[in-house]
Parts: sequence; C-alpha cells; structure tokens
Amino acid sequence: MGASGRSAGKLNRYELERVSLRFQSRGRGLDHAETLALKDVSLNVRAGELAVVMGASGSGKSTLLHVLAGLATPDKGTVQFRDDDGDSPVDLAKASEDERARIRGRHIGFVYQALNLIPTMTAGENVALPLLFRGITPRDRAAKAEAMIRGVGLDKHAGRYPSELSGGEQQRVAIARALVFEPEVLLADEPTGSLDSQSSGDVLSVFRQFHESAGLTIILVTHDDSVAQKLGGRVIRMRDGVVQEGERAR
Amino acid sequence: MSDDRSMRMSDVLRVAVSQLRESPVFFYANVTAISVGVLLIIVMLSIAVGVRRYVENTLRKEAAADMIEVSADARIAAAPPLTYAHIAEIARMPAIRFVYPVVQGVFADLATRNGESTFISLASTTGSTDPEVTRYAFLAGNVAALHRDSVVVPESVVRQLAIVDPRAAVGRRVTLRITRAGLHGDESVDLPLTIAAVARETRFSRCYVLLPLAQQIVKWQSNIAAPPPVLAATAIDHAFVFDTIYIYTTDVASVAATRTALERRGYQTASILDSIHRYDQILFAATIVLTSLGAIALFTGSISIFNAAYASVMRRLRDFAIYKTYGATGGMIMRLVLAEAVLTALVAGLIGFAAAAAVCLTLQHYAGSRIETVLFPVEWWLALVAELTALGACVLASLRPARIAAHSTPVEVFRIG
Repeated sequence: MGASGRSAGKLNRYELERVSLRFQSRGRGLDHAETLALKDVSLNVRAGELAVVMGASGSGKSTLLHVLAGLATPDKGTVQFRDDDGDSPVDLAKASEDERARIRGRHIGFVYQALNLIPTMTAGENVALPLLFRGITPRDRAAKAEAMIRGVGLDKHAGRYPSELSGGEQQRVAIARALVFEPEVLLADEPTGSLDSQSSGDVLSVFRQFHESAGLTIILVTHDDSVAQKLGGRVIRMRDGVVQEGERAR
Repeated sequence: MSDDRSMRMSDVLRVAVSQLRESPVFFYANVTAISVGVLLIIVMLSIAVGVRRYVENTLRKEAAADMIEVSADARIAAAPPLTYAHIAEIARMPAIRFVYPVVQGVFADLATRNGESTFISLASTTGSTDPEVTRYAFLAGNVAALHRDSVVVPESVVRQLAIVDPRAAVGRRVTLRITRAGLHGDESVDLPLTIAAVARETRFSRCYVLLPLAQQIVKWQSNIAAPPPVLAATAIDHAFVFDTIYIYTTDVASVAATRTALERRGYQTASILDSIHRYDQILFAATIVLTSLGAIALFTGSISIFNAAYASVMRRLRDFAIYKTYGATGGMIMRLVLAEAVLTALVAGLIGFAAAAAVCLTLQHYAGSRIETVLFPVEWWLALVAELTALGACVLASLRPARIAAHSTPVEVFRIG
C-alpha cells in the first residue's frame, strides 16, 4: 500500500485508511449480487501532487476516484481531506451528502469519463455552471468562464453547444468546468479514453499546465500506460479493488 | 469549509425559466389544467359572495339586523299580553334601545277615484320617529307628512293603482275599504285617505297608517260590537292588546341574549338573523358543492403537474447529478424544481383569475344587471385566492418529484441511469 506521509513541508491532501466499498446490484434472489469494489485501500496524496491511477477495467480505479470526490461513500474506513484554508481535515466518509457537495463546490474539480456536458447549455454556460452554486453574480460568472475557456484554448467556441464541438474540444470544456472555481484538487476519470492521440496530447498538456502553474493536486485515472508516461508523476496501480503498487516517482 | 454562499434566488428563477422553456408543451398543458380549476373555484366563490350580499341586502330592507319581532300567542305559550303596561316592562330590559308596538295583518282594498283598486296589507306606524318606516327610501313625499287621514304606500301599490309617476301619487285621494264578517253578512266601511308618501319598496310591500287609526280598524274587524273607525280620532288606545311589537337592541350582538330573555317570559321572537342564518346554511352547502367541482378540476390539474414534474425530473436526473458534482446541495436542487412549480402556479393563477373575471363580468352583464347588488363580484382578494390556490396545487404536486431530484446521487445516476 502506498503511504508516502508528509514530505518537504507539504501536507497530505488525502489520507485514506483501510477504505472498503461494496456495490450491490438491485436484483432479487439469484439476480442479487455484491461486488467488492475497494478492499482495505490505504493511500496518501500530498498537496500539489500529480498521481495517475492505473488498472484494468473493473479494478476499482473509478470507484476510488468517486470516493476521493465524495461522490461515493465507503462502507468502511476513513477518507480525510484537507483544504488549503487551514481548516481541520474532513472525513468525507462521514460527511453528509450536502457537506460533501459543498466541499466539492469549493475544493474539488471533477472530470467524468463521459464528459457529462449539459447539451442544452453552450460551452460557456457549461463552464460557468459550478459558479452558479456559489452565489456568484452572472457578470462575474461570465468573466471567470471566459477566462477559463481562453485558458484551455477554446475562446472562439464559448457560444457553441457541446454537439458542435469535437471530442477533444468537449474534453477541454469539461476540464475548464472542473477548474473554473479554482479548486485545489482535480480528479479526472479516463479523460483521454475516447480521444485520438492529437486530442489526447492537447488535453494532457492542459493538465500539466495547471499542475505546474497553479500547483494543482491532480489525480487521474487511466488504463493507458502512455498517458502515465506522458504526464509523469506518481503511478498507483490497482487490481480487483486493491492498490497493488504504491508509487513510482518520475 | 462552510463559508460558501447559497445559490442566488435570481439564478434559481433563471434556471427554472429556462427549464420551462425547454418543455413548452408540458408547461402550457399544466397551466391550462390549473387555470381551469382556478377559474371554476373563483367563479363559484364570486357567485357565493354575490348571492350572500344580495340576500343580506334584500333581507335588511325588510328588517334591521338589530330588530326583534316579538309576539304573544297564548296558543303557543303563556306570556303576559302585549299591553302598554307589559310593553313598558319589556322596554326596561337591558340592551334595549326602542320598543315599537305595531298593528299588522290588516287586509283591505285601496281604490282611486278613477276606479283603479288593489288589495293591500296594512300596518301601523308611530310616525316620523318609527324606524319601521324611516329606514325606507322614499321616491316622493315624506313620512313626516303622515297624518291621521293619510297613508304611506310602496311603489308597487302605486303602479297597481295605475299611477305612472310616484310624484303624482302624493296628495292623491284614495279610498280605503275595510271589511268584516257581520251578523247579516259582510260589512264594509270606506275611509277617505290621502297618499302622504311613496316608498321605493316596503317590508312585504305593505301600506302604513298612524297607530290610532290602525287600532280602530283592528278593533272594528275583531269585535262585532266595536264602532266603525273614525278618522278624526287621534288618541292612542292604551287598553289595546297588541299581537306584535318591534324591539331594537343597542347592537346586533345583544339580539341573541335579548331573544332568550323574552322567550323565557313566554314570548315568541323572530329576527332577520334567523333568515340570514338559514340562507347562509343553504349558501354554504351550495358553495361547497360548487367549489368541489373546481377542486376536482384542480386535483386533475395537480395530477398533470405531478406527472409532468416527475417525468421532467426523471429526464433531468443526469443534469442534477452534474449539478451535485459541482457543488449543488439537495436543497438547491429542490429549490430549482419547486421554482418551476411556483412559476407555473403564478402564470396559471393569473390566467385562471383573468378568465374567471371575464366569466363573472359576462354573467353580471347578462344575468345580474337587473339586480341592484353585484351578483358576480370581481375583487382583489379573489386574485389572491386564485394565486394561492394555484400555488398550493402546483407546489404540493411537485414536492415528491423535487425530493426525488434532491436525493438522487451522482454515482447512482451515472452507474444505473
């Protein structure tokens, strides 16, 4: 299990301790099934670290990402999350649904594998969406969204709907949406999974840019070795819900 | 980690409006369903209010609400006869303002010299201070002009005497023919009178003469030995036993207690409040029945709202999951869904009220124009009722879908769909 602890004055952003999560299918009788998605996972991620979670399909890497985002609650264990505000760490495993939503809205940006852009909103509106839930005025929302879209190189596409954008462009809109409220952590689930190599390279360069310039903590899930090689950082390997290999500094 | 601000109300409304715009068919169907329910309820309420006012106004013309009609009928209960002595005793009871003895139930013929005649009901009055007559509106003449040889008549009697202009009736000589059963068949006496005043309408459309004349007429009709009435007689007969007296209490609130006290003495009492209460009961039952029809329509509308809100929420669960991923709390999601219901309700309430107002004004124009009271009133509080009714129906119907949306979790939505 990879437990790096604190180093060089950097605090642990995440401290996972013996986290387990079991999924139950909703069938009856023989159709009823349980899947142990995470088994006693312990893991630390430092503030400002770039970590790539790798593993085969069904290894539990996406579930791990959901737990880190507070989107899924483990059955066992603790998920301590510390922000940059100097507050005491919060155990996401015990926080209420609304509290976890509030933490995400302030500190954690999330990029889904399926992008999940809202098709009835333009790229600009999609990017500004997280700011809607923080009571920010429409003018400030528009300004921040515009700056963020420019930051991912899509300033001419702000008024377009997702269906009018390429896969790579949609992914960059999704990244801009996850970063528009200046979170301290970015969690990305297979962000290049459905992209060609050119688009994939563009997207990874965006990640690298924000990691290097803003000191963003990035945890990225992928099954593609080349992504981990291009991106650098620590690699966390998973198999059958267990962290197999702690870390590999690059 | 708890310093984040809540979603702005203007943003909640903006998102709600954009959602409603995305499903215009659902929106218009919901607005129509709720509007119809609101329309029916408002029209029914308007009719109920209008009819109640009409009944009250009509009854108040016949008697004031603070008046009690007291009679002594020995066949029903033993009560002291309504002589002046006992009337004086009653007048000393608490909360009594005036007591007026009245002679009524006299029927006679009134005829003009042109030969036009009509059958009338005659009652007594004590003159210009008697509230029984002073509360009437007079079209011509005045009750102060009432003398021992004159009569106050209502407009309907003037019309039956073929006098077109009520002002032309004042001063007109008429003959009052009274009749009794004598020893050798019917006997009658003609009394020449002058019309002193014409009232717009009187209680039971009856005519009034001064009390001494009315006393003489009743005595002559009920006592075979009594002499015929003489117009010259002006003195009140203090030995007269009245059938009825009118009591005016100090206020309407004292009516019930005064009636109870009088009934304990054996008198029978009646009040306009009895009639109003009876009308109220009938009206209440009618209002309940009619309003129920509106409520059924509203309920149907609510089901439509529920279906639409439920379908809309299920369709948008993915959107709500995305909202939650980026910081929306369950409360924010609930507010977003309920805001759509509130906007639908505001529009439906407004349209329902406007349609109800149009229906009421049309009904008033065609059905209520011949009645002095507005039978289909359109008032501001009905608009408030319309909005609150629509709001209640829409919000209640959307609560369950809103809770489903608020409690959906992103992982479940994306895993299971």
